[in-house]
Amino acid sequence: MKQRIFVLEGNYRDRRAVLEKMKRSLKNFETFVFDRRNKLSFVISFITEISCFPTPRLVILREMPAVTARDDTARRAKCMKAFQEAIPKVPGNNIIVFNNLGLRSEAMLKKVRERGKVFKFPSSLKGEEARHRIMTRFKAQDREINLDAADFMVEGLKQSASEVNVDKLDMLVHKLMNYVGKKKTIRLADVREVCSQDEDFIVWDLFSQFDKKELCAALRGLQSYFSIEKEVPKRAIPLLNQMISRYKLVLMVKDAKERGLSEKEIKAEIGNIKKLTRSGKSQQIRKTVMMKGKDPVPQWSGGMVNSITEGWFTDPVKSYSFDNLLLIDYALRKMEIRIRSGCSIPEILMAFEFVAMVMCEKLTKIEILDVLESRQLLSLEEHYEYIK
Amino acid sequence: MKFTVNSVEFARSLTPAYEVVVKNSKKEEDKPSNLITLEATSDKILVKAATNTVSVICEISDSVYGDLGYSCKDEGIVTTSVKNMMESLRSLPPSEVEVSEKKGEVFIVSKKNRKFKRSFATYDEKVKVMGMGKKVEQELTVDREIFLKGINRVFFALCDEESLYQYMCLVFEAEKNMARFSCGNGARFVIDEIEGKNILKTKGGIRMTVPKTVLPTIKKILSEVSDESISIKQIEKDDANHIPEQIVFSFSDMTLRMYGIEPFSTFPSISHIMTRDYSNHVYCSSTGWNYAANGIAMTKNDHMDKIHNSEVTIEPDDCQLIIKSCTKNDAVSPVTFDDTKTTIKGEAPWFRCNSAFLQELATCTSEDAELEVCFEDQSVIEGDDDPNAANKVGPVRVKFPDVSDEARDTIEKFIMFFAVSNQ
Repeated sequence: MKQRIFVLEGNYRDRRAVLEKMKRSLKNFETFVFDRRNKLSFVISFITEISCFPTPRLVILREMPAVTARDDTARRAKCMKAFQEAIPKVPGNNIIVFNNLGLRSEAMLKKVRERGKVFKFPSSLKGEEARHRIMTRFKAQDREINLDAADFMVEGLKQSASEVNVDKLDMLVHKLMNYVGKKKTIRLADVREVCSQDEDFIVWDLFSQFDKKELCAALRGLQSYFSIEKEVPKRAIPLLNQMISRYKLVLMVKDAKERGLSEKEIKAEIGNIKKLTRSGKSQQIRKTVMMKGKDPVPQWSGGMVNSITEGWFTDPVKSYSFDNLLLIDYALRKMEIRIRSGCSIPEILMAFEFVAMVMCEKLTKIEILDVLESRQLLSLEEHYEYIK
Repeated sequence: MKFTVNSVEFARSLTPAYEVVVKNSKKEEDKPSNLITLEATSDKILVKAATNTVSVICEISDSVYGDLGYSCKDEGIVTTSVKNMMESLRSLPPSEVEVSEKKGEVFIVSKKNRKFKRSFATYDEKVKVMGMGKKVEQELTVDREIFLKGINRVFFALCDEESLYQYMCLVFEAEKNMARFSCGNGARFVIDEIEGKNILKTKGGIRMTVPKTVLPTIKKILSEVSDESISIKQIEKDDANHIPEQIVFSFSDMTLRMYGIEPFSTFPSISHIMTRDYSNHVYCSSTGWNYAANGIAMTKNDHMDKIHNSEVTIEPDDCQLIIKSCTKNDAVSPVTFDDTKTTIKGEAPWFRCNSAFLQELATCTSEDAELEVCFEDQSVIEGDDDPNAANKVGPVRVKFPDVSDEARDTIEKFIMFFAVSNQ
């Protein structure tokens, strides 16, 4: 191996494959892994030193080393400058791997290419590509996966983003392969089983059940969500926030569609609503707009809008009527006030089941929602007459 | 359990257990980190102490500690804190003490004045010392003082950098009439080789790696005991019984075991550097190196960069080595060499290395000793991208003068070698 310097960027599986190949070609070698616990000067000294022993040194940098600087940007710049200076001085039997350090500077990559190679692998994939990756991986193992199972995996991983994270996808495929054992054909039920403990999947599946108005499956989903961890109040607020955010978005998309806006226009309109900064334990919203660099952060990303407009499994916009969506929003708000003002674990669980009934259109009368304001949520008898 | 002993001797006999647990274990939530189990029998006390990396079993009796004055009234086992035990014994006036256990507490009472009393808690769980595999991989008996001397000589050079974990150990090698101690930090290594007829007994070549973490404990215990020689065994792991590979030191009715030695098996072999044939052999006085080292120290004052290298060039016409720091502040120091012995290949061979190695080199020897500096000209690999090019250069090897000990009939050789740098 004549090349000495390598840059590996992208998903873990492809990076690991390159490293394994490198190790196989080296046969005998010493491995050294450096990260932010090591000082930059030490790392530079080490990589430019000619080893005392004939065995090649494989030096893997998995994080930027530590160096004193005023902020992260300055720290990174200092590291990059030092690496650029050191690369021509790396002796023949040292092999340096910059493993997923996010190196984008063309000057740096040019230096690397002079003495080695740059490997860039995808870290996220579009739906179709993700499905193809799943199929290929199973095919390589002489197995087959049903199309609906692959779609379920992709959709579940995509959730509110427009692309699928490749590391998450590979991990799920790995889990699935271990779960099914010698089985040759993988079905949707297998994927569901594997994902039954994954919080993101449970939430995504829960919303699908709401959209399909399948109350039993939705209640089962809620049960799974709260059974992952014992601390119900801690888990309740994030789920509630996701529900509020999602249904508000569905309401806005529905309204925009009714007004005849195109998808592009819908995205632009919703993208104009900016996220406000939050701070403190109570997540109080401040009135300043949240910024990422110089750009304001939108409340709903394009990917989130896509998840509503381009759902493969369900179409939330068509699933709910306006009245229905307004009732859901009203119920969620009432529940938020109820939970935040303090209630017991059974009351929280009951409130969620109650809202699930509203989402699945089993409860349609606004009066019934008064129960969420009741001092004693557990004494529901007086409200039973409203239930269909 | 109830027995009487001399407080001073008993505290001395507990030192190995104290060293093992207090210096090598981490505190757990529900119990202190320094528990030992004492088993009092009619003629001796068996002490067990263990951590994840090291354990010790000591037999404390009058035959080992002459002034112990052990007398057992009730036999029994108790687990307690060695720290409390030691501090209690040390806080009493030197005299005979009665040690007893009752209702979850250990009582130590001075027999001279019974008003001097100490008590502390016991623990239900006994200290468990890991078992030992059956197959002895390597075995030798070595002179204790020689072994201690070797460790002390190279101790300063142990690796401190945790990311170079495989170097955080001391390598002990032995063959007929020779014991070799070596360690290094990945770039700079030192070797202490002691030759002598009666220093060790071994059947074949031995190579053992002793983790850095337990070396202070070994040093302390070995310097406290009075045995002439110690037995060292490396026991193979026993997979069936989940017993790891271990090194066992035996002396003075005491067995010290070390675990966690597997990661150090990759420590490279250094024998090829000892025998390497260099192109340049320079013989010079250590006094000259001291001036160079002090000059380097000066240049470090205003040097902001943490990387500090120096270049060493031979000027054959002036019979001098020129040591020049690669820094903003300049320090150039000549070191005169003996041209009758020196062999040089090329016009002006040079090498560049970390300045700290040159400073260490100056501190490792006495005044006016003759050093043999061997190196290859670094210019042979400049701009050379061949993967084997680095092997052409190799490290710089510095041999210090041999020290002979006539009383013991031993010769001690000390060698340092270090990597050169392209920076």
